[in-house]
Amino acid sequence: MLFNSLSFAVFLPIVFCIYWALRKSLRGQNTLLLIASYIFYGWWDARFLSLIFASTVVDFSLGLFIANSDSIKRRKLLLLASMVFNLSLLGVFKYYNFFLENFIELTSSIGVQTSLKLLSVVLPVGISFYTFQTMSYTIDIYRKKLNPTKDFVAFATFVGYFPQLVAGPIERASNLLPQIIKPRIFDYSKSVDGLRQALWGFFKKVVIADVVAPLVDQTFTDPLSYEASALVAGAILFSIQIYCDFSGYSDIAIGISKLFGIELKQNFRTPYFSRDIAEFWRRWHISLSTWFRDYLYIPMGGSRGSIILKVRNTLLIFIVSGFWHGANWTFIIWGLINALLFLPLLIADRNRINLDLPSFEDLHKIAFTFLITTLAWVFFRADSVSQALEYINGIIINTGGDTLKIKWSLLIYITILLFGDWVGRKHDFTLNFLNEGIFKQHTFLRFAIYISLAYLILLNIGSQQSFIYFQF
Amino acid sequence: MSKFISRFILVTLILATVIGCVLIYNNWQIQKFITQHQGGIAIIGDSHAATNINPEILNASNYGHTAEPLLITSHKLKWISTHLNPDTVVLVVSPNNFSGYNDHKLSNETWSSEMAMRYFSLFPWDFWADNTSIVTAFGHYFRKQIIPNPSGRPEFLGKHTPKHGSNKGNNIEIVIQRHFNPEYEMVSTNALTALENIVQICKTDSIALVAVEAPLLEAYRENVPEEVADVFNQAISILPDQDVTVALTPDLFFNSDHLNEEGAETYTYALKEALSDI
Repeated sequence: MLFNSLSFAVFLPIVFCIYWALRKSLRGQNTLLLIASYIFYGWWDARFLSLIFASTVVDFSLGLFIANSDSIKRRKLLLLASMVFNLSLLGVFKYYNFFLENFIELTSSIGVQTSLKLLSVVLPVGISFYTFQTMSYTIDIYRKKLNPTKDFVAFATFVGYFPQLVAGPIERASNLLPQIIKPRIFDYSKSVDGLRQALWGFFKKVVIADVVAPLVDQTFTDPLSYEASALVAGAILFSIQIYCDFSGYSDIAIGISKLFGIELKQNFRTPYFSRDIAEFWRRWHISLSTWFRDYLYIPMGGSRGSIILKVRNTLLIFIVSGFWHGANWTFIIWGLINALLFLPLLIADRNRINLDLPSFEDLHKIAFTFLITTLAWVFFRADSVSQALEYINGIIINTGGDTLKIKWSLLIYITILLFGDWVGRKHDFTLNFLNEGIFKQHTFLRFAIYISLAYLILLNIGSQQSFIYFQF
Repeated sequence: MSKFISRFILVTLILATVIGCVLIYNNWQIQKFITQHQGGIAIIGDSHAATNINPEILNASNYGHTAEPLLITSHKLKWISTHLNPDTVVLVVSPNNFSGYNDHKLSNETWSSEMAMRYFSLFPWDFWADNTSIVTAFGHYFRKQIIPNPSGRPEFLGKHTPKHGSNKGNNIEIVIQRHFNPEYEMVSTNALTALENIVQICKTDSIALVAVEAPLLEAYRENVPEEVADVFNQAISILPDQDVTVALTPDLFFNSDHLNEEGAETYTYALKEALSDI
């Protein structure tokens, strides 16, 4: 089920009303959330519910076994079992064909023919998100940072919680599970915040990302037929699209979750106002970067040790992060480019500056950071490395060709986005600025903003466009 | 909880009221448009009608619309005839009106949303349900309706869209492939019937029908698939004979099958003269 679908518009109010009608029964609420989550996921393809359920059962049991075991060796073995199980799921459904294709290509290049067959499987939506979530659970128990839950329904709700099940934010058990176990009380201001955040998320997704998508598709489908300026515009528009699509989803997920009294982690903090690539990565897909930081980068030594170790760890973390997005060389190269942009800052020990809020004086740094991230996004968006190179080559050498027709209305929408994000950059989410100053005093001003945004959403809501991050 | 729900309902009601006001305003403007456009000459057809005929010269109304299949033109004429009571209808036809691709514009990815947005109100709901998702089709239509429309011209009517610039010698093969898409059947199954309906509507409602062939560059005409050309010739025989004699040099074309602004002016003056003979 998509957030921007009619079915979800019917589904959400029903679940919301029943949920708060059950406010005296925590177990009832959790059971409802679990059923709702499985309906939400099963709406797309019910067969893959079995994977979520298997992942839930395995990690629930292993979590209990790890906690009950005093032997370090046994604990390690149990953790390994959890890792192998989850990574196998990813391996089979996401990476098997990629490795096999490359293996076949490699062997055929040296004259050896293989008769291995590719798997004909669909990538289950959200598999990279929920497997990482359950892995963090068993790792935290192994590290004795978390006590396992004995409540299976609560754990299953943690794994399958519908607002963030298919595209994050990737939650930690230490944040989400205690909220699921504790009784929730309806909080007016939290719910209003939730609706506001979801509204801004819908604005980003429906009004910008979906409107930009066809323009981006045009330039990437046939870069040779466009003039250089059109290709530059296409690349910039993709940067806007991916941000609005993914952060829009996160805003909707976090906002909807607040309606159920559950706070999810912040996933984006106006990343395109970053003054360098290090700051960008502190502001972009925060739940994934912190996951890799806590469960891969720091255990490998992080930024401690010799320069060579630092470089190795950084390269690895960015490449793995790129590979997490998809089984394609384009994502690996995207990760590598980001690593290469990040490394000079790390080596010069300048990766921890810019911790304060960006201001207008930083505009040139912000613009430069945006442009280099845009260049890297070309690899992320392209279907193949050769297409990405063709695109970049087109930017450099194309002198003639078609132009990209961008409507004025789209430029106005992008201006609203920039203005909103700039004003709201010091808050957890953009429309939080409505809790301050003149907006706090005048209800009609707040209402005017809500209605204007809702109106723009209705004006642009057309065919239901899927979210880009569903494919990861 | 009750405060939250009541506030939510309040915002929703205000939004619904704003939308309601826009819908009422648009409807009022449409009524005004209908009153102001009674009688006279109505030009109908696809982009060839919209581009090639300058309505000011003819003192007419141009209701041509890009990519409009003849099936829709016939339904549109029914609406025009009922609401605008024209004395004369100028129908612009071209071989591409008989391409099988037209039969799929209501359901295929490229055109279905645009078709629903323009023509949803012209057809009963089950017509859309047969071709595409009714909810999606209504969604496309609805979002167009909530934009204030000061001109009052209903979206499905279309208008004169002059083209600027001269023929750049664009690749005829690509244009032909687009008009006679080989992925679909070559000849439309309903275009001839739609044309007969147009003739019938004009007869029943006592409207003078003038049918003209869209001017085409020779290179385009030569590349029209034979089966389509045959059906086109058959179609021409159904229509009342009307020749517009005018010499159109290639520089008066915007592309292989549309005139530019200057070409449209030249052509419309010739059409005006032909019409004066009726």
